[in-house]
Amino acid sequence: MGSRAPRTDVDTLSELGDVLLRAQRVTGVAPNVPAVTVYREDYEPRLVEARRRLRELGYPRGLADYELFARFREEAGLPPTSPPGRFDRAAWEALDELRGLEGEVDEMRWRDREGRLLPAMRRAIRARSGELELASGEPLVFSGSGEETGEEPPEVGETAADLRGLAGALGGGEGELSEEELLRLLFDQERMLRRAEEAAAEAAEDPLAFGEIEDERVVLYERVRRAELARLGVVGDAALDDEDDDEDDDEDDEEGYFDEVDLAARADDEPLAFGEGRPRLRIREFFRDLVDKPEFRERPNDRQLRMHLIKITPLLDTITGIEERWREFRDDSRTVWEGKRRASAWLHGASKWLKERGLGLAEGLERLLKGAARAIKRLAGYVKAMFTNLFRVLYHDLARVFEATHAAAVELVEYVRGPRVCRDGELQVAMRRRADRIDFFVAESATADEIGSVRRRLKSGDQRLALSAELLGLVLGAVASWTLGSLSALAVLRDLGGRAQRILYVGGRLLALGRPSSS
Amino acid sequence: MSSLKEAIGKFTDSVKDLSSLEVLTYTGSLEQVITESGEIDWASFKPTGGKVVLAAATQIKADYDTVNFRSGDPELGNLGDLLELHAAAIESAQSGRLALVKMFSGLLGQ
Repeated sequence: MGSRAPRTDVDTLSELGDVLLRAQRVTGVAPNVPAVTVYREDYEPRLVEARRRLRELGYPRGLADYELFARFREEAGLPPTSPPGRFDRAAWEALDELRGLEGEVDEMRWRDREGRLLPAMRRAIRARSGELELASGEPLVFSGSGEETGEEPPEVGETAADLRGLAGALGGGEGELSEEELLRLLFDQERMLRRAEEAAAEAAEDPLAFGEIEDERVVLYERVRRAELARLGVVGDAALDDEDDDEDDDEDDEEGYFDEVDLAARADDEPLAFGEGRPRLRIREFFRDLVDKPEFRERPNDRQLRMHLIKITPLLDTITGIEERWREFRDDSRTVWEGKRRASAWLHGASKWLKERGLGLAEGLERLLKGAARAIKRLAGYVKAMFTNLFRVLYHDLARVFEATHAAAVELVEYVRGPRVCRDGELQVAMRRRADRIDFFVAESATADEIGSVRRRLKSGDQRLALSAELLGLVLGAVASWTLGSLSALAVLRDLGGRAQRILYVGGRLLALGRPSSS
Repeated sequence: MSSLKEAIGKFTDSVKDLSSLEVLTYTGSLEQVITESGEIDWASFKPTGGKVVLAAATQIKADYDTVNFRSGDPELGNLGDLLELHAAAIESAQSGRLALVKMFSGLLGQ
């Protein structure tokens, strides 16, 4: 191997774009759709998921991207782009509202001037109706099957019938559930689960609901809670079965995998849940509780999430074959994007659940994983689900880091380019920034307002540049240690993850400043 | 990505030489200095360049010795606005350099 000249800070700075693009490729993580393209191909992972989601909504296969996206834009009431069919942030957010199933649906946004639901929304209602199969009584399949119901959106009347069917299945009598509330339930899994829990509780108290006849509300609850488990990445639903079928779990007859917990050091009234359990029971209980107990489904605030991430990042180093697992995860776009926000709730719930059992987050997760490894044949699905949720949180956190870095890089470009003001296609004020010299040109025809606007932009630009420079400095601190030839997803996750808190804080302040309107 | 690389290249240049700074503010007619593509031909700027007039200039040397020039031309009706802009540009340049220092402090912290 030949000797290599020592790298300097300046070398790293000039390679920043290349290194970050490589890091994005290695991890498969990219920033959100950029307003200004600095890195080519940077939002490809989102496009893959967008195509998949649009297929689920029944858009025809075989269309070129620009045709597919232009059609979605039109059906979602988004203005056309130039060139046509760009999949920008607005398009992604609209599609996420329909298929992310984790946010508030703005009902009015999805209606045309006559108050009719837009075609994209009608498609989404049909798709959700099919997935939930609430009206048919068939077993629930939570995730999209990829089977289209037709290439054209349902007619308005068909959608109205879909909604009536859903209202009935959700336990809403005539007029009890408004269309607005129905849509919210339909497109927010957590809201749906809470509603189903309440309905099941009502059924338990209902003097008319007894005997062998299965109450629809209970049926609904069972199906929605199993859908929630699927959302956590568990294939099959054994975790929700009541019986503890450990009699054939002879693989687990080794010493308890939580035996290392110092039970004697606990207070008498401290709950003891680990130590005597078997892996299969314990990991099933873990997932069951995270589905069934609302206190474990709460989303963390930013600070709590950050603390969890700081705790789990070192865990990555201890996991064998993590690069392979990461590749497997990120190559399945549905796994990456489904339950994006739910995964952070899962991590928060896991932290609480483990804390109740006297364990820290990283330690507890490590023990769950190691314990499950002893019965890997039976528990592989749970282990995979644990990785799925961990990776989802890391992936989307890293995406935010890249996004913030991207915004800072764009800011740097804008800073160097300098402000300009044009009026009627003619330059009024222009600036050229060089290493040791700034040239300003102000046309005779420039007005005081135009000159003043440039002055104000310079001042606000200074603030943004300071934040951008700090953020890029943080990123540079991580990338300076990367050798391009051996750059790994783990290295990116570990290095940028360790700095993510500050990067996201500075990035948040940068975004809060907004961008000046360019003339 | 080329725009990022260009920007970083320019920044890299400025990192190599933080010793001096000049800010020059011109005003005048654009006709002489606009290229066919609509960009400004900065190379044609000269303080004595006909319809282009140097309204203000500041030179800050490595030892912080500073030389200022401001036009006394009474024909420049918007001189006050130009001078305010000029001052803002000097401030911006200095802030930019501080930002650079901060950027590299990220590297030093590794």
